Amino acid sequence: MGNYLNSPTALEKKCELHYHVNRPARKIAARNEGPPNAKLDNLPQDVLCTILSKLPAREAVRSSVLSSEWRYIWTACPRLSFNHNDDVRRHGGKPNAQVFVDHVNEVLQKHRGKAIDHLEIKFTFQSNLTYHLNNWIRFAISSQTKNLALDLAPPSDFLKHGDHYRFPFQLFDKESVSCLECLQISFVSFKPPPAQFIGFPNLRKLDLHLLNTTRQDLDTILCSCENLEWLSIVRCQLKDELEFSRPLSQLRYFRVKHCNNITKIQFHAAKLSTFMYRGDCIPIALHHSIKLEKAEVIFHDLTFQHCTAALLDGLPGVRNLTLEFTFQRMETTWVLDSRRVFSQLRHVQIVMIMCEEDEDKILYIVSLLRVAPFLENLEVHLDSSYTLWFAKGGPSRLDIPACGYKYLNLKNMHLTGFRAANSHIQLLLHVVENAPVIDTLTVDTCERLVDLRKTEKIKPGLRCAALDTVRFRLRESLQPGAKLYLL
Amino acid sequence: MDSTADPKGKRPLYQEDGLAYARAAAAAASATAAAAPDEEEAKPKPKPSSSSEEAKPEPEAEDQAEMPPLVLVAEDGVEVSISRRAARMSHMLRLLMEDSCADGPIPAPNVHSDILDLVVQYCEKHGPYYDPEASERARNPFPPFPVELTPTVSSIKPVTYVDPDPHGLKDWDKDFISLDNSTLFEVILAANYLNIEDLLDLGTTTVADMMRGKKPEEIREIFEIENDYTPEQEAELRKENAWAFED
Repeated sequence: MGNYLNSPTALEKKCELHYHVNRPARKIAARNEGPPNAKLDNLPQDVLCTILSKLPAREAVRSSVLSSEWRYIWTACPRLSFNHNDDVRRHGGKPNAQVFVDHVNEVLQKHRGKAIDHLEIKFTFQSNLTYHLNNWIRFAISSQTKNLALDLAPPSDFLKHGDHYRFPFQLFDKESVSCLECLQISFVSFKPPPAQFIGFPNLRKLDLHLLNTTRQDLDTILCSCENLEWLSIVRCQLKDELEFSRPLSQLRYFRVKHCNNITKIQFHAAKLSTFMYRGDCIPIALHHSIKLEKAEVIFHDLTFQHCTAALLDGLPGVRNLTLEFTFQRMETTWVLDSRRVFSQLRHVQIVMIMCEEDEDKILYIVSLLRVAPFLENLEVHLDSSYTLWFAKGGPSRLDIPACGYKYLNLKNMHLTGFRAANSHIQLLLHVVENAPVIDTLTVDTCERLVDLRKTEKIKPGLRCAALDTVRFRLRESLQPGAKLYLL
Repeated sequence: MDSTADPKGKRPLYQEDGLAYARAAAAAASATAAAAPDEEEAKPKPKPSSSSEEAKPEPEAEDQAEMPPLVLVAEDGVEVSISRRAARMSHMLRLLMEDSCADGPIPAPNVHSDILDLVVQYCEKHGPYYDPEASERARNPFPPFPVELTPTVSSIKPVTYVDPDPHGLKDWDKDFISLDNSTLFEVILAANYLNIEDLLDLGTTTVADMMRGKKPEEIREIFEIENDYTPEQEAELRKENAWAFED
C-alpha cells in the first residue's frame, strides 16, 4: 500500500494554504483548526488508480480530461474491465463487436509494459475475432495478470457455425503459467494442450461455463492445479465421467450445474466443504470429503429412494444438506433397512415439487429420515397442485413398519406448503409421535417455494380450516414445553 | 486451546490453520530474540475437526480483548485508543502487535484526531467480525461476471447460501461513509496509511460511485478539480480517445 507521506507535491502545496473553514461537516466536533482540507487530487496515485479501476474502462479513460494531473493516471490502473453488454444497452441494442475490439485494443496498447492484476472482458464471440482474443491472452501473459476473465457469449448463429473459442494453451510458457490465480472462461474449448504444458500450478479459482472438452483434456489441465480451491462447471457437455486422476487436495468449493451429459462424478477432495449439483441423478463419489459441510443437490428425473441411496453412497459425510426434487416419482416402498447412515447429517432441507400422481406419497420420505440418526433440523418445503387441498389418498403412518425407531436427535421441524392433505397430516403426526425431544414445530400453509413470484394469499378461512385438521392432534402429541407455530 | 500466559504478541492473532499458525509463530519467534517457550509455539495447533472452515477465532479475540488497548497519537498530539481486536483490521498495527512493538504510543503523523476517531470507530464496529479471508473474497468477488442461473422465486435459502452481510454491517457502513468530500478523502488517506483494506475499499468505492456515469465537467465540479487544459489541448485529448467520449 502506498505511503501517503510520499504523495505528490500537491499535498505540500495545499497544506500551505489556509484551512477551509466553511465545511458542510458531518458531526465533526468544531475545532479552531480543523483537519486539513483534502481534495481528490491529494490522494496518492495508487489510490486514484484503485478508484478508477472500479469504473468501467471507458469512464476511466474519460478521466484523462479532468486536469493535466489526471492525464495518465488511468494508464496505471491495475484492473481493466470491459463489458460489451453495457455499451450495447447504451446504444440501444446494436452490438458491433469490431468496434468493441478496437476499443479494448486501444486501452491495452496504453497499458503495454505495465503489470495488470485483473483483466476482465465480456462480449459475444465471433470466430473472426479469434486473432484479437489470442492477442489479449498474450497481453495478459506479458502483464503477469493474476485474475483473467474471458466471458464469451455464444453468437446468435451458434447452431450454424458453432465453434467455441479454442483456448490457446500454447501461448503459456513455464513461467507464465505460474502467474494465473483466478480464471473465468466461457464458451471455450479445451483441445489437447501441447506436451510441454504443465498446467496452472497457482490456480486457485476456476469457473468454466459452456466448456467443450473431453475428460482426458480436462484432467490433463487440472491435474497439476494443486492449489485449486474453487471450481465451478456449468453447462458443460462432457459426455463422459468427471473424474480427476490426482486428488484436488485444496478444493473447498465445487459446483456442477446443468451438465447434462456427465455420467459420473468421482474424485478425491479431502477438504471439500461446499458441493452444489444440479442435473440428472448420477453416481457422485466424494467419499473422501469427510469435512463436507454443506451440499445442495438438485436432481431431475429419478425416484426419491434411488436418490437417497445414491447420496448415501456418494456423500456420506455431509452435515447440512438441501435436497431438491422436481417432478419426482416416488416408489411406494419403505426402503428402511440400510446399514449405512449419514453419520454427520444434522440439517436437511427437502424441497419437493411433485407430479400429481405422486403428491400423496410424501410420507415415503421417512426412508431418508431413518438413515439420518443424528438429524436435528428437518425442513420440508412442498409445492403442490391445488387439488391437494384436503386430499384423502396416500398411506397412513400406521403402515410404516414400526421397529421402534425414534428420531432421537430431532429438535426442529418446519413444513411449508401445508395443504391439510392426508399425506401431509400423516407425515407431521409420524414425526411428532416419534421425536421425543422435538421442541419446535412450524406448519406453514404458505407456499414458500414460490412466494416471491406468487402474490395471491391464501384466504384466511381456508388457512384456518387446514390448520384445524392438525391443531389439536399436534398439540396433544408434542411435549408440553415444545413450541408449535401454525402459520 | 491452551491459555498459558503468553508474552505479548507471540501468538498469531488469528489462526486459519495449523500451517499459518506455525508460519506466524516462526516469524514471531525469529523477530524477537526474547526467551520464549519455543516448543509451545512451534508445534502447530491441530484444527478441531468438527469446526467449519470459517470458524471465527473467538478464543483468540477474547484473549486480545483482555490485553490493553493500543494508543495511537494523532498529528495534533491527541491520543486515541483502539482495542486490540479492532486493531487487527489494520495490517500495519497487526504487524506491530506481532512484533510486540505495540506497547507504547504509536504515532500516526498526518492523521488528524477527528479522522482517527472515525477510523477507530469503523474498526471497533467491524473488529469482532473481521475475517481476512472473507474480507478478501468480498473485495474481489469471483467470478467477475457471475453466471446467470435460473432466477430465484423462493424465499427459502438452501444450506449453501452464503449471506453477503451476516452481521448487518452494510447499512451501518452506508451511514458511516456519508461524509463530506474532504473528510472522506482524509479517511481514505488514513486507511491507506494504516493499511485497513476494508475501509480503503469502502472509501474508494464510494468515490467511484460518485464519479460513475458523470461527465467530466460534472466530476470536476463535485471534486473541485481545476481544469488546467487549454481548450485546444482538451479538444485534442477528446479526439484521441473519441470512443470514450461518445454519449
